[in-house]
Amino acid sequence: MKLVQLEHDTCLGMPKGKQLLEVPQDVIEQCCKAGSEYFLTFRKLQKSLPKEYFRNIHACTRMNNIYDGDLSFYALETDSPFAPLMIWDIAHTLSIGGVLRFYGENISEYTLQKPYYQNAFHMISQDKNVVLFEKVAALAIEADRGLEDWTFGIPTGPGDATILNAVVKRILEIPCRNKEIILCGRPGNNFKYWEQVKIVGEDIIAPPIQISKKKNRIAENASYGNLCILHDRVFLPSDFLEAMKKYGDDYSTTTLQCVYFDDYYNLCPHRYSDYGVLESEQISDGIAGINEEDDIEQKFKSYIFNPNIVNITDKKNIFFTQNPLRNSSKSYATGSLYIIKRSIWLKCPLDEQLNWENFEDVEWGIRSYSFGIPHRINPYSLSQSVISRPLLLADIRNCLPNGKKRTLAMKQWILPLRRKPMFKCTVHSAWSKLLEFKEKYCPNLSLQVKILTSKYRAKTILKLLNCAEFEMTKENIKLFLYDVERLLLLGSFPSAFKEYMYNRFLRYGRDAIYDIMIYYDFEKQLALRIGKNQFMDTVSDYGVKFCFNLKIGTLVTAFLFTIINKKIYFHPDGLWGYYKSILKSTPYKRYFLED
Amino acid sequence: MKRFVISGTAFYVFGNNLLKELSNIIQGATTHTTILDYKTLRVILEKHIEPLENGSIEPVLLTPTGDSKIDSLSISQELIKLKGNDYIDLILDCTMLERDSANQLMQKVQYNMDILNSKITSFSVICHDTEMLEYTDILSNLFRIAPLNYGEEYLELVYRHVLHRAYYIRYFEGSHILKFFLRIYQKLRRLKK
Repeated sequence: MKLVQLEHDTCLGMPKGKQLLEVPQDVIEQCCKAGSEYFLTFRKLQKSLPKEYFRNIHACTRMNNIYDGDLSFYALETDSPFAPLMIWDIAHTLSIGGVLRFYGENISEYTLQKPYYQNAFHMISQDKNVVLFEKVAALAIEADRGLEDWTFGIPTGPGDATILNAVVKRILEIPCRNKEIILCGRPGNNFKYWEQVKIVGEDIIAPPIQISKKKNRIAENASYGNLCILHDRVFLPSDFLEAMKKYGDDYSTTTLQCVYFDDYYNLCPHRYSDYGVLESEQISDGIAGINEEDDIEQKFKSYIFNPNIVNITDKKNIFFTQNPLRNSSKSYATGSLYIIKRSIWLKCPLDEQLNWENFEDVEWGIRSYSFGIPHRINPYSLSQSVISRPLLLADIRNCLPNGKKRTLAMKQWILPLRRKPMFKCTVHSAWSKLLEFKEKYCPNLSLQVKILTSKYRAKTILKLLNCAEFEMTKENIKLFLYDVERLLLLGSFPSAFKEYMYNRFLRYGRDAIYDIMIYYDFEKQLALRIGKNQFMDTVSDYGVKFCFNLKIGTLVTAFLFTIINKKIYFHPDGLWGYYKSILKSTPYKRYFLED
Repeated sequence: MKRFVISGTAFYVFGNNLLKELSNIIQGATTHTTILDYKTLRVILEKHIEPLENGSIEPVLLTPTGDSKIDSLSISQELIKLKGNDYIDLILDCTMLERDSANQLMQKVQYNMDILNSKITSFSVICHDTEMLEYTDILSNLFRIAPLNYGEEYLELVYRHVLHRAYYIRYFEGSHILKFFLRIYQKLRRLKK
C-alpha cells in the first residue's frame, strides 16, 4: 500500500500536516490488511514510513486518472474544503467494484451520500471509525466521456447582433471534431451565421428575460456530451479546447476566469463576473421552493429580498469574487459561462422560475453543490468579456487565497489611455432615452440638447430627477425605478437596491429621490469617465486592433498578473501562460467587421 | 350617516383613556366608513360612542381580532369589499405593539398601498409610545405626489457633491496610501485655516 501525504497550497493558510494530529498506526495497518492500494491523508504520517507527496492542493488541482483501485482516506473531508473536489475526481476515475474507505471523519454527511452519487455508490459498511463505499455503477457523466465533441449554447434575443457575430465566429474557429452551436432565441437581423447555428426556444418570450429557461432549453437540445453555455458577450479563447484537454475530462461545472479590458492595449484589466462566493446570508440553502408557495416572486423575496432583511443585506457586501484557488458550499460560477457535461445539467437544471438578475446562478451554485456537483475554475485559459456593465466595473470585492476579503480598487483606470465605450449605446439613443424620461415625468422642463459629456450627462440626470413627478402608488414607484435604471442610468440597479429604494419611496415619499441622486453606481459611472465620452459610435468600437503596442500592453499586464498570481487570477503557467491566454482571448477588431 | 374604520383590540384592553382619544378622533373625522372589531365595537358602543353619537354610527365591517390585525393585507382586502364607499378613515392602533411589530405592520401597509391608496384619504395612528409618533409622518408620505423640486442652487450643490464623490472614487477609494496622503492634506489645510 502506498502512503500519500497530501498538502494544501501554502498560500491558502491551511494548517500544515505537522500541525495536525498523527494518523494512528493501527489505522494504517487496518488499511493494509483490507487491501487498499493507496492511503491518502492531510494528517501527519510517521517519519519512518515511506510515502509519496501530493503537494500544493487547491481548488484547481485535478486528481483524475491518478489513483485507481481501492483507496483509503484518513479525515479527508474533515481536514480539507477541497475534499468534494478530490472525491469528485477520484470517484470518476474509480472502476466499478472499487471501494473507498473513509477513516476518522467527523462530518454529518459524506460527499458520496449526496444525490449525484447515490445510484453509483453504496455504503457497504459503517462503524465508528470507518465508512466504506463501493462503486456499483457508473456515474452520470461517465457516459459523456471525451472532449472532442462540443455543443455551444448562447441565450440571445433580438437587437443588434454584431457582438453575437463575433462570439459565434470565434466559436466556429475552435477546432473540435464535432461541434454544434445552439442559439436560444432569435437574434437580430444582422446575424451572419444562420446556416451554422440551430435556433431553439423562440417561444420563450421576454420580458422578463427567462434566462434559466433558455439555458435549460439549450441543454435539452444539445447533441453532444460537452456543453458550453455562454452569454453573448463572452469571448472564448482560441485555445479553449487545448485548455480543456489540459484540465482533463470528467469535469464538474467549470468556468474560465474572465477579464474585461477597459482600453485598447490590454493594460486596464478588470476581473469580470466569473466565479463568485456568497458570504454571510444563505439564500435558500440550496433548496428552491423552500416556502412551498405558488407565487415565485413572493417566494424568492423571502430568501433575500424580503423587506425585513433587505436593508441588512444591502448594507453588507455579501457577494464576493471568489479566489480561483478556493471552493466552498457557497461558491458558484456566474451565469456568464458554464462548461459542463450535458448529463449533469439535465440532472440538476436551473430553476426556471428565476429570471435574469434574480440571482439564478447563485441559487443554482448552492443547490448543485448540495446535490454533489461543485463549481470550479479551469485555470489554463481566460475568457474576455466584450462589453461591460458599469455596475460590475471598478473595484472588486475579492477573496484572497487565505479567505480574507479585500476590496481591490483597480487604479489603472486613471492611466491616460483611450478607453472602450462604457455604455453599449450611442449618444443619440442616450439622448432619446433622456428625453423619453423627461416627457414621462417632467414634461415642462426645458433641456438643452448638446454633446453629452459625462459631466453634462450627470447634471442632466440630476435635473430630471429633481423635477420628476408621479403619483405615489406601488406600481408607479416600481415603474419609476425601472425607468430611472433603463433611461437615465442605462444599466440596472442591483435587486437589493431596487427593493431598498422601493421602501424608501414608501416611507419618505419624494425625499427618497435624493437617494438616487447620490447613488453609488451613478457616481461610479462618472468616476470611470470624468470629462470623457461614455458612449460608442458603433459596436465595433469594442474591437481591439492587433498591433505591437497591444503585445507590449499584454506583456505588462501578464507580468502584473504573475506578480499577483493566485491572489486575484491564477494561471499554472505563470507569465507566459497569462500572455498567451490574454492574447488568445482578445476580441480583435476583425471579428466585428463585415466580411 | 358617518361610518368609521377602526381596527384593533387594544382599545378593549386600555379602556377609557384610549376610548376617549378615539372618541375625539371620531368626532373630528369627516369620513364615512367604520371598521370595528367585534370586541372594540361592543366596548365603544356600550360605554362611549353610543351616547356621543346617539346611534348615528353604522358599523359596516368586523376585522379579525388579535394578532391578525398586523396583517394589514386583511385590512386592505376588507377595504376592497367596501367598494362603493369612496372615503375611508384608517385608524391604525399601535398601542399594543412592540416596536418591531410596529415596523412589520408598517411594511405590510406599505406593500398594500395600491389598494389602500385608492381608498384612504385620511388616517390616524393611536399610540402611547411617543417614538411611535413617527409613523404618523411615515403614513403621511404614503399618499403624496412626489416632485422633489430643489431649487437651482441646491441642485448645483448636489451636483458638486456627486462630482466630488466621483473624483474621490476615481483617485482614492480602495487605495489606503492615497487615502493616507489625502487625510494629511486635509489636516494641513485645516491647520492653515
